[in-house]
Amino acid sequence: MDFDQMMDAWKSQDERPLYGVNGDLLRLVLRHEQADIRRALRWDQWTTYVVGTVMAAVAIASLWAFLHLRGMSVPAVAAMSAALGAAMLWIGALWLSRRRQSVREREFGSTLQEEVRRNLSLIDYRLSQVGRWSNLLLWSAPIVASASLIVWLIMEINGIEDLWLTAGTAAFLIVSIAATTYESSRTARQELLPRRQRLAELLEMLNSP
Amino acid sequence: MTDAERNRIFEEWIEAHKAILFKVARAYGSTHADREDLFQEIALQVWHSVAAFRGDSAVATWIYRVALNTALAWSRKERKHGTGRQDFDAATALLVAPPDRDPRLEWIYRQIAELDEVNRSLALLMLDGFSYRDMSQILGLGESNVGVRINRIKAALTARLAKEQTDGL
Repeated sequence: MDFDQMMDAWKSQDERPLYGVNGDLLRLVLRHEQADIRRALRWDQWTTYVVGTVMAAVAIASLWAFLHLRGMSVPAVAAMSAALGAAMLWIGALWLSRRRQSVREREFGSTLQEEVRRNLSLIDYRLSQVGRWSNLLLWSAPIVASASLIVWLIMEINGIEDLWLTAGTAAFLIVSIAATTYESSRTARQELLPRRQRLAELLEMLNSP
Repeated sequence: MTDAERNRIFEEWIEAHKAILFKVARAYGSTHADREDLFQEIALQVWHSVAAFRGDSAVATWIYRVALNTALAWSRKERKHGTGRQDFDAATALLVAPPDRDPRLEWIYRQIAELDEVNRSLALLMLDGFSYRDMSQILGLGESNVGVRINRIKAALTARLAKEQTDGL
């Protein structure tokens, strides 16, 4: 076979394709993909915004009710406002962070090299959020603070003044949250770092002469 | 764009250009199961890309770009073999291989498989007659870089063809 015959053999695939396609199966796969996308979007919106906001709101409402029963004072109102403001800031920061990443991804073109860069940008963004346990703790701070506040309120309402119980509960909360956060961050790094490495190698291959 | 419209365009594209998906899946998948998974992944990405297509390039160029992006990002660890096929028998195949295979094509794909992933993309585009400019736009490489790589690939293929003359291909 010479080069021209090789090219003829290659072109014959257009008349006689390598495979047949099970069209019904492909359509079914696409329907499942559409359903999966909608489910993932709903889940993302539900967990990120709704659950986080509701938890923060319940904690603030509980604190308000508690302080109201004990008699509201100026410092209490200030504490309430600060808590509400912090919750709003958190939601705003999360929204802004995700929006900036979307804009950043849209700036990439559609060539292979740009697609690799886009994927690298996405992985770097996820690593910045969850790759370090301190960052993950920051993003989950309102939920952590709400849980701590609810535990403290329960103890206050029930008049539990045992110092050792309070210290033990606080220590348990701190250790379990720190351990969970560290483990989540470590798992995320284990998944993301090899993918980042592969993309970086691809980019190097594309850029080499 | 409605789902119905997207599905209609997707089916037209697959009917007209399914050979591109087969070639890329064959070049980047080492086993039949891998090729099925990769074909499914490419088809899904092409379906996703329908809404983003603005007509700035030919449909074949667009599909090649999507297929090569997908193949390079695809990993065996992310195999979706069986995903989305719950209503079918587990053994139902997405791709149906023909009973007879052209040994010349088998030889070509073996040579392509020995190239690194980027040069594999270039080899596919070269064999399908894309210009250096088109290849440059698809891959995001400079035209001179494309030219140098293509010349190396052609030289390697020609040398191997000469060596294989005695095999009666």
